[in-house]
Amino acid sequence: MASHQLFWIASRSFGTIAMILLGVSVAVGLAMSGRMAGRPATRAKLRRFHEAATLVTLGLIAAHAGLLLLDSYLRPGLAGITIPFVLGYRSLFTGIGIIAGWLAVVIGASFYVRKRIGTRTWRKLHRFAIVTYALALLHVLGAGTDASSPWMLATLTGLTAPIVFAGSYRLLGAQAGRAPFPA
Amino acid sequence: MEPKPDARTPQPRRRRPSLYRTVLSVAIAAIVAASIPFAALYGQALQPRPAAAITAVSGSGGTQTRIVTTASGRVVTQTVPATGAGSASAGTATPIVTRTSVATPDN
Repeated sequence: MASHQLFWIASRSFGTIAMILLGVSVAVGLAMSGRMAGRPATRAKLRRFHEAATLVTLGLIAAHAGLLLLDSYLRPGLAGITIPFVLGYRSLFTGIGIIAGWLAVVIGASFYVRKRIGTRTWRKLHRFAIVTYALALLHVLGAGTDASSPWMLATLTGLTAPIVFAGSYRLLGAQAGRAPFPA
Repeated sequence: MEPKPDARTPQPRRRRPSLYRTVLSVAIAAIVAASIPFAALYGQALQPRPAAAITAVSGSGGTQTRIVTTASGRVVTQTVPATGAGSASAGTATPIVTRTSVATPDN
């Protein structure tokens, strides 16, 4: 029977969707900051979607980790899912995933304390969103059960390509002297 | 001449009704999307696995310990003579515990 794998499979499913939504959110953020969306109305819609996608991603990350607590085989414990490199299972890459998760929390929360920490600090902090994505990607490739599956590799490739494109577009735009919008 | 707005009058808060709607829509989409890999992976886990065997030569007596995953997913161990053609006896070695073997109490 597969009932004992219920939480494990659910965790993997939430993790997969969290990764996809994180990638989409980062890509949209980079597209906004690189002035790829010209019209103000479009920018406002994209900003709203970016914010919503980030909030849902944080929920999915929490579900991804929280469901592991209920897995009778792994039994990671609270420390195993919250403190990097504590969990014995593929320690390095699960640790990287935990760091990515906390980074996502900090970057996501920083939006709501932007006035308190200052726009400049927030903007600097927000640049780590791409680092979060890179760490999450490493986590999936190193610790993901489905990492070698063709569908997962296709998904990761499809997510990473627009991020690299939007990141390059922004960097090249900034070098050409155009002041990019903050993400 | 227009009257100046009173500075003490509280300004209406910026309304963000559509953010709630967007968050909810994205959350619903994410849960529905998560159900797709979940259904596929869970369905895969429900499928009976093909029988597989790992055989290792034991330390003494010229016997081999064979750990067999049966088609039902049950793990049994068998001790057979090293020549491989002898009769099997079950349950003499500790079975290797894997994610797919820990579930049922009869393992």
